[in-house]
Amino acid sequence: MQTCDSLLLQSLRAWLDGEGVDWDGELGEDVWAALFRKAEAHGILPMIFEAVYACPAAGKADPRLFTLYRQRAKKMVMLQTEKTDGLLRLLPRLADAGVQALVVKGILCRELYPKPDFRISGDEDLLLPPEQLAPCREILTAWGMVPEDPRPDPAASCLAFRQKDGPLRIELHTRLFPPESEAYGDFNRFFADAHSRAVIRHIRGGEVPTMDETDHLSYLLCHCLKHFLHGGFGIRQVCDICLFANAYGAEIDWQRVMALCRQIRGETFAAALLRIGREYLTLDPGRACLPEEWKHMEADENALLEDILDAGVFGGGSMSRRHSAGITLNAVAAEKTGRRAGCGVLKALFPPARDLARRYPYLRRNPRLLPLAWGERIVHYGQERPVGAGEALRLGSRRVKLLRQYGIIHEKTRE
Amino acid sequence: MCREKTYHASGELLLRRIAGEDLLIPVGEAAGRVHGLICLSESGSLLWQEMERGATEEALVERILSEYDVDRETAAGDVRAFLEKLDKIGVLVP
Repeated sequence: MQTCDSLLLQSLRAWLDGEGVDWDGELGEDVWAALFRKAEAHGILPMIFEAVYACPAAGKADPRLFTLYRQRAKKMVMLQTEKTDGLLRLLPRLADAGVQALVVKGILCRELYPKPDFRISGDEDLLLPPEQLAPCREILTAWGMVPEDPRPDPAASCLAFRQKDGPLRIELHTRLFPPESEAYGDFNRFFADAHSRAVIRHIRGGEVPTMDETDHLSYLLCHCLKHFLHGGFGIRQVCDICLFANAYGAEIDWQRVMALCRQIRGETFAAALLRIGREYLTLDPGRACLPEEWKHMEADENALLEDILDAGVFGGGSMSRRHSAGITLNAVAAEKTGRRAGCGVLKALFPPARDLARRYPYLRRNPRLLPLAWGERIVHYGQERPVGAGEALRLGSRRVKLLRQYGIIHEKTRE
Repeated sequence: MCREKTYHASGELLLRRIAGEDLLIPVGEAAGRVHGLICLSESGSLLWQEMERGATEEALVERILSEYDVDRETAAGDVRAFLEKLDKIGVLVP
Protein backbone atom coordinates (compact mmCIF):
# COMPACT_ATOMS: atom_id res chain seq x y z
CA MET A 1 0.00 0.00 0.00
CA GLN A 2 1.31 3.47 -0.85
CA THR A 3 2.29 5.77 2.03
CA CYS A 4 -0.43 8.27 1.23
CA ASP A 5 -3.11 5.55 1.18
CA SER A 6 -1.91 4.18 4.49
CA LEU A 7 -1.95 7.66 6.06
CA LEU A 8 -5.44 8.28 4.71
CA LEU A 9 -6.78 5.09 6.28
CA GLN A 10 -5.01 5.73 9.61
CA SER A 11 -6.37 9.25 9.90
CA LEU A 12 -9.89 8.26 8.79
CA ARG A 13 -9.98 5.47 11.37
CA ALA A 14 -8.74 7.86 14.06
CA TRP A 15 -11.43 10.42 13.21
CA LEU A 16 -14.18 7.80 13.22
CA ASP A 17 -12.96 6.81 16.70
CA GLY A 18 -13.20 10.46 17.80
CA GLU A 19 -9.45 10.81 18.03
CA GLY A 20 -6.56 12.48 16.21
CA VAL A 21 -3.45 10.80 14.87
CA ASP A 22 -0.22 10.97 16.88
CA TRP A 23 2.24 11.13 13.99
CA ASP A 24 5.49 12.53 15.26
CA GLY A 25 8.09 12.37 12.47
CA GLU A 26 8.46 14.89 9.69
CA LEU A 27 6.29 13.85 6.74
CA GLY A 28 7.42 16.24 4.00
CA GLU A 29 5.37 18.79 2.11
CA ASP A 30 4.72 16.50 -0.82
CA VAL A 31 3.29 13.80 1.46
CA TRP A 32 0.98 16.24 3.27
CA ALA A 33 -0.17 17.73 -0.03
CA ALA A 34 -0.80 14.27 -1.47
CA LEU A 35 -2.74 13.25 1.64
CA PHE A 36 -5.01 16.31 1.48
CA ARG A 37 -5.50 15.94 -2.28
CA LYS A 38 -6.47 12.31 -1.78
CA ALA A 39 -8.84 13.25 1.04
CA GLU A 40 -10.50 15.76 -1.29
CA ALA A 41 -10.76 13.14 -4.04
CA HIS A 42 -12.60 10.90 -1.57
CA GLY A 43 -14.82 13.71 -0.25
CA ILE A 44 -13.46 13.32 3.28
CA LEU A 45 -11.18 16.34 3.64
CA PRO A 46 -12.92 17.71 6.78
CA MET A 47 -12.53 14.36 8.55
CA ILE A 48 -8.90 13.91 7.56
CA PHE A 49 -7.93 17.51 8.30
CA GLU A 50 -9.48 17.36 11.74
CA ALA A 51 -7.69 14.07 12.49
CA VAL A 52 -4.25 15.40 11.58
CA TYR A 53 -4.08 19.15 12.18
CA ALA A 54 -2.97 18.94 15.81
CA CYS A 55 -0.47 16.08 15.59
CA PRO A 56 3.23 16.85 16.26
CA ALA A 57 4.14 16.13 12.62
CA ALA A 58 1.69 18.81 11.45
CA GLY A 59 3.51 21.35 13.62
CA LYS A 60 6.65 20.74 11.57
CA ALA A 61 4.90 21.25 8.21
CA ASP A 62 4.37 24.38 6.11
CA PRO A 63 1.60 26.32 7.86
CA ARG A 64 0.46 27.82 4.54
CA LEU A 65 -0.58 24.38 3.31
CA PHE A 66 -2.55 23.78 6.49
CA THR A 67 -4.20 27.20 6.28
CA LEU A 68 -5.29 26.47 2.71
CA TYR A 69 -6.82 23.08 3.55
CA ARG A 70 -8.33 24.35 6.80
CA GLN A 71 -10.24 26.95 4.77
CA ARG A 72 -11.39 24.33 2.30
CA ALA A 73 -12.51 21.96 5.08
CA LYS A 74 -14.45 24.78 6.78
CA LYS A 75 -16.15 25.74 3.53
CA MET A 76 -17.17 22.13 2.85
CA VAL A 77 -18.71 21.76 6.32
CA MET A 78 -20.44 25.13 6.03
CA LEU A 79 -22.05 24.20 2.70
CA GLN A 80 -23.06 20.77 3.96
CA THR A 81 -24.63 22.30 7.06
CA GLU A 82 -26.68 24.60 4.81
CA LYS A 83 -27.68 21.68 2.57
CA THR A 84 -28.75 19.52 5.51
CA ASP A 85 -30.77 22.37 6.96
CA GLY A 86 -32.40 23.00 3.57
CA LEU A 87 -33.43 19.35 3.24
CA LEU A 88 -34.90 19.30 6.75
CA ARG A 89 -36.96 22.39 5.90
CA LEU A 90 -38.17 20.88 2.64
CA LEU A 91 -39.26 17.45 3.91
CA PRO A 92 -42.25 18.66 5.99
CA ARG A 93 -43.64 20.44 2.92
CA LEU A 94 -43.53 17.22 0.95
CA ALA A 95 -45.11 15.27 3.81
CA ASP A 96 -47.86 17.89 4.25
CA ALA A 97 -48.72 17.55 0.56
CA GLY A 98 -48.94 13.77 0.89
CA VAL A 99 -45.82 13.11 -1.20
CA GLN A 100 -44.19 9.86 -0.09
CA ALA A 101 -40.59 10.83 -0.70
CA LEU A 102 -38.14 8.36 0.82
CA VAL A 103 -34.74 9.86 1.55
CA VAL A 104 -31.91 7.48 0.67
CA LYS A 105 -28.23 7.59 1.68
CA GLY A 106 -27.31 11.24 2.36
CA ILE A 107 -28.64 12.45 5.67
CA LEU A 108 -29.46 8.91 6.84
CA CYS A 109 -25.79 7.97 6.59
CA ARG A 110 -24.56 11.40 7.68
CA GLU A 111 -26.24 11.15 11.05
CA LEU A 112 -24.21 8.04 11.85
CA TYR A 113 -20.89 9.93 11.72
CA PRO A 114 -19.33 11.48 14.84
CA LYS A 115 -19.81 14.94 13.27
CA PRO A 116 -22.57 14.53 10.69
CA ASP A 117 -21.91 17.55 8.49
CA PHE A 118 -18.31 16.45 7.96
CA ARG A 119 -19.78 13.82 5.61
CA ILE A 120 -20.25 15.71 2.39
CA SER A 121 -22.95 14.90 -0.17
CA GLY A 122 -23.15 16.30 -3.66
CA ASP A 123 -26.91 15.98 -3.53
CA GLU A 124 -29.79 14.41 -1.64
CA ASP A 125 -31.68 11.56 -3.27
CA LEU A 126 -35.43 11.11 -2.91
CA LEU A 127 -37.25 7.98 -4.09
CA LEU A 128 -40.82 8.61 -5.21
CA PRO A 129 -43.71 6.55 -6.53
CA PRO A 130 -43.82 7.52 -10.26
CA GLU A 131 -47.28 9.10 -9.95
CA GLN A 132 -45.95 11.53 -7.32
CA LEU A 133 -43.19 12.94 -9.50
CA ALA A 134 -45.36 15.76 -10.89
CA PRO A 135 -46.69 17.05 -7.51
CA CYS A 136 -43.21 16.79 -6.05
CA ARG A 137 -41.79 18.88 -8.89
CA GLU A 138 -44.41 21.55 -8.22
CA ILE A 139 -43.57 21.68 -4.52
CA LEU A 140 -39.85 21.94 -5.19
CA THR A 141 -40.41 24.72 -7.72
CA ALA A 142 -42.72 26.64 -5.36
CA TRP A 143 -40.08 26.26 -2.63
CA GLY A 144 -37.44 28.00 -4.75
CA MET A 145 -35.74 25.17 -6.57
CA VAL A 146 -35.13 25.10 -10.30
CA PRO A 147 -34.87 22.04 -12.53
CA GLU A 148 -31.43 21.47 -14.05
CA ASP A 149 -33.10 20.35 -17.25
CA PRO A 150 -36.00 22.72 -17.99
CA ARG A 151 -37.41 20.31 -20.60
CA PRO A 152 -36.94 16.86 -19.09
CA ASP A 153 -37.71 13.65 -20.93
CA PRO A 154 -41.15 12.54 -19.69
CA ALA A 155 -39.77 8.98 -19.41
CA ALA A 156 -36.74 9.99 -17.33
CA SER A 157 -36.41 8.13 -14.01
CA CYS A 158 -34.33 10.90 -12.43
CA LEU A 159 -34.83 14.67 -12.26
CA ALA A 160 -32.37 17.05 -10.64
CA PHE A 161 -33.21 20.38 -8.96
CA ARG A 162 -31.01 23.12 -7.52
CA GLN A 163 -31.85 25.70 -4.88
CA LYS A 164 -31.94 29.21 -6.39
CA ASP A 165 -30.43 30.87 -3.36
CA GLY A 166 -28.68 28.00 -1.60
CA PRO A 167 -26.40 25.04 -2.16
CA LEU A 168 -28.98 22.25 -1.89
CA ARG A 169 -29.27 19.91 -4.89
CA ILE A 170 -32.02 17.31 -4.95
CA GLU A 171 -32.37 14.32 -7.24
CA LEU A 172 -35.87 12.87 -7.59
CA HIS A 173 -35.84 9.21 -8.55
CA THR A 174 -38.74 7.00 -9.55
CA ARG A 175 -36.26 4.11 -9.70
CA LEU A 176 -33.08 3.75 -7.68
CA PHE A 177 -31.13 2.58 -10.73
CA PRO A 178 -31.51 3.67 -14.36
CA PRO A 179 -33.82 0.97 -15.72
CA GLU A 180 -32.23 1.21 -19.16
CA SER A 181 -28.86 -0.03 -17.87
CA GLU A 182 -28.13 -3.54 -19.09
CA ALA A 183 -25.54 -3.97 -16.36
CA TYR A 184 -27.59 -3.08 -13.28
CA GLY A 185 -31.06 -1.86 -14.32
CA ASP A 186 -32.41 -5.14 -12.93
CA PHE A 187 -31.32 -4.15 -9.39
CA ASN A 188 -34.59 -2.16 -9.22
CA ARG A 189 -36.57 -5.34 -8.69
CA PHE A 190 -35.32 -5.59 -5.11
CA PHE A 191 -36.73 -2.18 -4.19
CA ALA A 192 -40.08 -2.29 -6.00
CA ASP A 193 -41.95 -2.56 -2.67
CA ALA A 194 -39.65 -0.28 -0.65
CA HIS A 195 -42.45 2.22 0.02
CA SER A 196 -44.58 -0.44 1.71
CA ARG A 197 -41.75 -1.16 4.16
CA ALA A 198 -40.78 2.49 4.74
CA VAL A 199 -39.87 3.81 8.19
CA ILE A 200 -39.57 7.26 9.75
CA ARG A 201 -36.31 8.38 11.36
CA HIS A 202 -36.18 11.34 13.71
CA ILE A 203 -33.26 13.55 12.80
CA ARG A 204 -32.48 16.96 14.39
CA GLY A 205 -36.10 17.41 15.41
CA GLY A 206 -37.51 16.50 12.00
CA GLU A 207 -39.14 13.40 10.55
CA VAL A 208 -37.24 11.75 7.72
CA PRO A 209 -39.07 9.01 5.81
CA THR A 210 -36.75 6.35 4.45
CA MET A 211 -36.39 2.70 3.48
CA ASP A 212 -36.26 0.09 6.23
CA GLU A 213 -32.89 -1.09 7.53
CA THR A 214 -32.61 -4.15 5.31
CA ASP A 215 -33.64 -2.32 2.14
CA HIS A 216 -31.29 0.52 2.97
CA LEU A 217 -28.21 -1.62 3.57
CA SER A 218 -29.08 -3.64 0.46
CA TYR A 219 -29.29 -0.38 -1.47
CA LEU A 220 -25.94 0.86 -0.14
CA LEU A 221 -24.32 -2.40 -1.28
CA CYS A 222 -26.05 -2.33 -4.70
CA HIS A 223 -25.07 1.31 -5.11
CA CYS A 224 -21.42 0.49 -4.42
CA LEU A 225 -21.56 -2.39 -6.87
CA LYS A 226 -23.13 -0.13 -9.49
CA HIS A 227 -20.23 2.30 -9.17
CA PHE A 228 -17.75 -0.57 -9.09
CA LEU A 229 -19.12 -1.56 -12.52
CA HIS A 230 -18.59 2.04 -13.63
CA GLY A 231 -15.31 3.70 -12.63
CA GLY A 232 -15.20 2.61 -8.99
CA PHE A 233 -16.13 4.20 -5.67
CA GLY A 234 -14.34 5.77 -2.73
CA ILE A 235 -13.60 4.88 0.87
CA ARG A 236 -16.46 7.01 2.25
CA GLN A 237 -18.96 4.67 0.65
CA VAL A 238 -17.37 1.85 2.64
CA CYS A 239 -17.64 3.99 5.79
CA ASP A 240 -21.36 4.48 5.12
CA ILE A 241 -21.92 0.73 4.93
CA CYS A 242 -19.88 0.02 8.07
CA LEU A 243 -21.54 2.72 10.17
CA PHE A 244 -24.97 1.67 8.92
CA ALA A 245 -24.32 -1.98 9.78
CA ASN A 246 -22.99 -1.00 13.23
CA ALA A 247 -26.04 1.18 13.92
CA TYR A 248 -28.81 -1.08 12.63
CA GLY A 249 -27.24 -4.55 12.70
CA ALA A 250 -29.86 -6.05 15.01
CA GLU A 251 -32.73 -4.80 12.82
CA ILE A 252 -31.19 -5.91 9.53
CA ASP A 253 -32.47 -9.14 7.98
CA TRP A 254 -29.03 -10.37 6.99
CA GLN A 255 -30.39 -13.46 5.28
CA ARG A 256 -32.36 -11.20 2.92
CA VAL A 257 -29.26 -9.10 2.29
CA MET A 258 -27.18 -12.20 1.56
CA ALA A 259 -29.83 -13.61 -0.76
CA LEU A 260 -29.85 -10.33 -2.68
CA CYS A 261 -26.05 -10.32 -2.91
CA ARG A 262 -26.10 -13.87 -4.29
CA GLN A 263 -28.64 -12.85 -6.93
CA ILE A 264 -26.49 -9.98 -8.16
CA ARG A 265 -23.30 -12.05 -7.92
CA GLY A 266 -22.08 -9.60 -5.31
CA GLU A 267 -21.57 -11.99 -2.40
CA THR A 268 -17.76 -12.02 -2.46
CA PHE A 269 -17.68 -8.31 -3.27
CA ALA A 270 -19.84 -7.54 -0.23
CA ALA A 271 -17.77 -9.86 1.98
CA ALA A 272 -14.59 -8.07 0.86
CA LEU A 273 -16.18 -4.68 1.60
CA LEU A 274 -17.10 -5.80 5.09
CA ARG A 275 -13.60 -7.17 5.61
CA ILE A 276 -12.17 -3.75 4.67
CA GLY A 277 -14.54 -2.28 7.23
CA ARG A 278 -13.29 -4.65 9.92
CA GLU A 279 -9.59 -4.32 9.11
CA TYR A 280 -9.30 -0.60 8.41
CA LEU A 281 -12.47 1.15 9.60
CA THR A 282 -14.80 0.69 12.54
CA LEU A 283 -17.07 -2.19 11.52
CA ASP A 284 -17.81 -4.24 14.64
CA PRO A 285 -19.08 -7.71 13.60
CA GLY A 286 -20.78 -8.14 16.99
CA ARG A 287 -22.69 -4.85 16.93
CA ALA A 288 -23.53 -5.35 13.28
CA CYS A 289 -24.80 -8.89 14.00
CA LEU A 290 -22.86 -10.03 10.96
CA PRO A 291 -23.89 -13.58 10.01
CA GLU A 292 -21.29 -16.27 10.76
CA GLU A 293 -21.05 -17.38 7.15
CA TRP A 294 -20.14 -13.86 6.06
CA LYS A 295 -17.66 -13.44 8.88
CA HIS A 296 -15.77 -16.48 7.70
CA MET A 297 -16.18 -16.13 3.96
CA GLU A 298 -12.90 -16.17 2.07
CA ALA A 299 -12.55 -12.82 0.34
CA ASP A 300 -9.25 -11.16 -0.42
CA GLU A 301 -9.95 -7.50 0.24
CA ASN A 302 -6.60 -6.14 -0.92
CA ALA A 303 -7.28 -5.76 -4.63
CA LEU A 304 -10.64 -4.14 -3.93
CA LEU A 305 -9.12 -1.78 -1.37
CA GLU A 306 -6.42 -0.74 -3.83
CA ASP A 307 -9.09 0.02 -6.44
CA ILE A 308 -11.20 1.96 -3.92
CA LEU A 309 -8.28 4.11 -2.79
CA ASP A 310 -7.33 4.85 -6.39
CA ALA A 311 -10.90 5.60 -7.47
CA GLY A 312 -11.98 8.56 -5.32
CA VAL A 313 -15.63 9.48 -4.95
CA PHE A 314 -17.61 7.44 -7.49
CA GLY A 315 -14.55 6.66 -9.56
CA GLY A 316 -13.83 10.24 -10.52
CA GLY A 317 -10.14 9.82 -9.67
CA SER A 318 -9.00 10.14 -13.25
CA MET A 319 -10.22 10.55 -16.78
CA SER A 320 -8.96 7.10 -17.72
CA ARG A 321 -11.19 5.64 -14.99
CA ARG A 322 -14.19 7.46 -16.38
CA HIS A 323 -13.45 6.17 -19.84
CA SER A 324 -12.62 2.65 -18.69
CA ALA A 325 -16.14 2.32 -17.25
CA GLY A 326 -17.40 1.49 -20.74
CA ILE A 327 -15.24 -1.64 -20.72
CA THR A 328 -16.42 -2.95 -17.36
CA LEU A 329 -20.08 -2.11 -18.04
CA ASN A 330 -19.83 -3.77 -21.43
CA ALA A 331 -18.39 -6.94 -19.88
CA VAL A 332 -21.19 -7.19 -17.31
CA ALA A 333 -23.92 -6.34 -19.82
CA ALA A 334 -22.53 -8.93 -22.22
CA GLU A 335 -22.73 -11.64 -19.59
CA LYS A 336 -26.24 -10.66 -18.56
CA THR A 337 -27.55 -10.53 -22.11
CA GLY A 338 -25.64 -13.59 -23.26
CA ARG A 339 -23.82 -11.79 -26.05
CA ARG A 340 -20.08 -11.68 -26.55
CA ALA A 341 -18.36 -8.54 -25.35
CA GLY A 342 -16.44 -6.81 -28.09
CA CYS A 343 -13.24 -4.86 -27.68
CA GLY A 344 -14.63 -2.14 -25.48
CA VAL A 345 -12.07 0.60 -25.82
CA LEU A 346 -13.79 2.63 -28.53
CA LYS A 347 -17.09 2.21 -26.74
CA ALA A 348 -15.37 3.32 -23.56
CA LEU A 349 -13.96 6.46 -25.11
CA PHE A 350 -17.02 7.23 -27.22
CA PRO A 351 -20.01 5.68 -25.44
CA PRO A 352 -23.44 5.47 -27.07
CA ALA A 353 -26.01 8.20 -26.40
CA ARG A 354 -28.05 6.08 -23.97
CA ASP A 355 -25.02 5.74 -21.65
CA LEU A 356 -24.49 9.51 -21.53
CA ALA A 357 -28.11 10.66 -21.48
CA ARG A 358 -28.25 11.03 -17.70
CA ARG A 359 -25.29 13.41 -17.60
CA TYR A 360 -26.18 15.14 -20.88
CA PRO A 361 -30.02 15.18 -20.90
CA TYR A 362 -30.18 16.94 -24.28
CA LEU A 363 -29.20 13.57 -25.81
CA ARG A 364 -32.63 12.21 -24.94
CA ARG A 365 -34.25 14.84 -27.13
CA ASN A 366 -31.62 14.88 -29.82
CA PRO A 367 -29.26 11.88 -29.99
CA ARG A 368 -27.56 13.46 -33.02
CA LEU A 369 -25.80 15.78 -30.56
CA LEU A 370 -23.74 12.83 -29.34
CA PRO A 371 -20.43 14.21 -30.68
CA LEU A 372 -21.11 17.40 -28.67
CA ALA A 373 -21.53 15.32 -25.50
CA TRP A 374 -18.25 13.50 -26.21
CA GLY A 375 -16.58 16.89 -26.56
CA GLU A 376 -18.13 18.26 -23.36
CA ARG A 377 -17.03 15.14 -21.54
CA ILE A 378 -13.45 15.67 -22.65
CA VAL A 379 -13.54 19.39 -21.74
CA HIS A 380 -15.07 18.57 -18.34
CA TYR A 381 -11.99 16.56 -17.44
CA GLY A 382 -9.76 18.92 -19.36
CA GLN A 383 -7.55 19.81 -16.43
CA GLU A 384 -6.02 16.37 -16.69
CA ARG A 385 -3.61 15.42 -19.42
CA PRO A 386 -5.42 13.93 -22.38
CA VAL A 387 -6.05 10.26 -21.75
CA GLY A 388 -4.62 7.78 -24.16
CA ALA A 389 -6.79 4.98 -25.44
CA GLY A 390 -4.14 2.55 -24.23
CA GLU A 391 -4.30 3.82 -20.65
CA ALA A 392 -8.09 3.52 -20.52
CA LEU A 393 -7.88 0.06 -22.08
CA ARG A 394 -5.25 -1.14 -19.60
CA LEU A 395 -7.25 0.13 -16.63
CA GLY A 396 -10.48 -1.28 -18.05
CA SER A 397 -8.89 -4.69 -18.59
CA ARG A 398 -7.44 -4.66 -15.09
CA ARG A 399 -10.85 -3.80 -13.64
CA VAL A 400 -12.57 -6.54 -15.65
CA LYS A 401 -10.12 -8.94 -13.97
CA LEU A 402 -11.27 -7.51 -10.63
CA LEU A 403 -14.88 -8.23 -11.60
CA ARG A 404 -13.82 -11.83 -12.26
CA GLN A 405 -11.81 -12.03 -9.05
CA TYR A 406 -14.86 -11.04 -7.02
CA GLY A 407 -17.16 -13.37 -8.96
CA ILE A 408 -19.25 -10.59 -10.52
CA ILE A 409 -18.64 -12.03 -13.96
CA HIS A 410 -17.65 -15.55 -14.95
CA GLU A 411 -14.10 -16.52 -15.80
CA LYS A 412 -15.09 -17.20 -19.40
CA THR A 413 -16.45 -13.68 -20.07
CA ARG A 414 -14.05 -11.80 -22.34
CA GLU A 415 -13.76 -8.06 -22.41
CA MET B 1 -30.87 45.23 26.14
CA CYS B 2 -32.36 44.14 29.43
CA ARG B 3 -30.58 42.13 32.14
CA GLU B 4 -33.71 40.12 33.04
CA LYS B 5 -34.60 39.20 29.48
CA THR B 6 -33.96 35.61 28.38
CA TYR B 7 -31.87 35.34 25.25
CA HIS B 8 -31.98 32.36 22.90
CA ALA B 9 -29.49 31.23 20.31
CA SER B 10 -30.98 31.68 16.86
CA GLY B 11 -31.91 28.39 15.24
CA GLU B 12 -30.57 29.86 12.03
CA LEU B 13 -27.00 29.89 13.32
CA LEU B 14 -25.61 26.43 13.90
CA LEU B 15 -22.54 25.90 16.05
CA ARG B 16 -19.95 23.56 14.59
CA ARG B 17 -16.46 22.76 15.89
CA ILE B 18 -14.11 22.28 12.97
CA ALA B 19 -10.46 21.42 13.63
CA GLY B 20 -10.45 23.20 16.98
CA GLU B 21 -12.39 26.29 15.82
CA ASP B 22 -15.91 27.04 17.01
CA LEU B 23 -17.91 28.48 14.16
CA LEU B 24 -21.46 29.67 13.72
CA ILE B 25 -22.85 28.69 10.34
CA PRO B 26 -25.81 30.72 9.07
CA VAL B 27 -28.63 28.68 7.51
CA GLY B 28 -32.09 29.47 6.15
CA GLU B 29 -32.90 33.17 5.98
CA ALA B 30 -29.83 34.02 8.07
CA ALA B 31 -27.64 32.74 5.22
CA GLY B 32 -28.87 35.70 3.19
CA ARG B 33 -28.18 38.21 6.00
CA VAL B 34 -24.95 36.89 7.46
CA HIS B 35 -22.28 36.23 4.91
CA GLY B 36 -19.71 33.60 5.79
CA LEU B 37 -18.89 32.02 9.09
CA ILE B 38 -18.79 33.63 12.53
CA CYS B 39 -15.73 32.53 14.50
CA LEU B 40 -16.33 32.28 18.23
CA SER B 41 -13.75 32.47 20.97
CA GLU B 42 -13.80 29.79 23.65
CA SER B 43 -15.91 32.00 25.92
CA GLY B 44 -18.16 33.01 23.02
CA SER B 45 -18.81 29.35 22.30
CA LEU B 46 -19.62 28.77 25.98
CA LEU B 47 -22.11 31.66 25.96
CA TRP B 48 -23.72 30.47 22.74
CA GLN B 49 -24.25 26.99 24.19
CA GLU B 50 -25.89 28.57 27.26
CA MET B 51 -28.13 30.56 24.97
CA GLU B 52 -29.14 27.41 23.10
CA ARG B 53 -30.96 26.49 26.32
CA GLY B 54 -32.07 30.10 26.90
CA ALA B 55 -30.30 32.36 29.40
CA THR B 56 -30.56 35.84 30.91
CA GLU B 57 -27.66 38.26 30.70
CA GLU B 58 -27.09 37.74 34.41
CA ALA B 59 -26.96 33.96 33.97
CA LEU B 60 -24.44 34.38 31.18
CA VAL B 61 -22.24 36.50 33.47
CA GLU B 62 -22.46 33.82 36.16
CA ARG B 63 -21.47 31.18 33.62
CA ILE B 64 -18.36 33.15 32.69
CA LEU B 65 -17.49 33.66 36.37
CA SER B 66 -17.83 29.93 37.02
CA GLU B 67 -15.54 29.02 34.15
CA TYR B 68 -12.87 31.75 34.13
CA ASP B 69 -10.81 33.54 36.75
CA VAL B 70 -12.12 37.06 36.04
CA ASP B 71 -13.88 39.70 38.10
CA ARG B 72 -17.62 40.37 37.71
CA GLU B 73 -17.10 43.73 35.99
CA THR B 74 -14.92 42.18 33.27
CA ALA B 75 -17.33 39.26 32.81
CA ALA B 76 -20.32 41.60 32.57
CA GLY B 77 -18.51 43.76 30.01
CA ASP B 78 -17.58 40.72 27.88
CA VAL B 79 -21.13 39.35 27.95
CA ARG B 80 -22.62 42.73 27.04
CA ALA B 81 -20.16 43.12 24.14
CA PHE B 82 -21.01 39.61 22.91
CA LEU B 83 -24.75 40.27 22.98
CA GLU B 84 -24.33 43.60 21.23
CA LYS B 85 -22.35 41.97 18.43
CA LEU B 86 -25.08 39.38 17.91
CA ASP B 87 -27.73 42.10 18.03
CA LYS B 88 -25.86 44.11 15.41
CA ILE B 89 -25.94 41.26 12.89
CA GLY B 90 -29.58 40.54 13.69
CA VAL B 91 -29.26 37.08 15.18
CA LEU B 92 -30.13 37.77 18.80
CA VAL B 93 -33.43 36.18 19.74
CA PRO B 94 -34.93 37.65 22.92
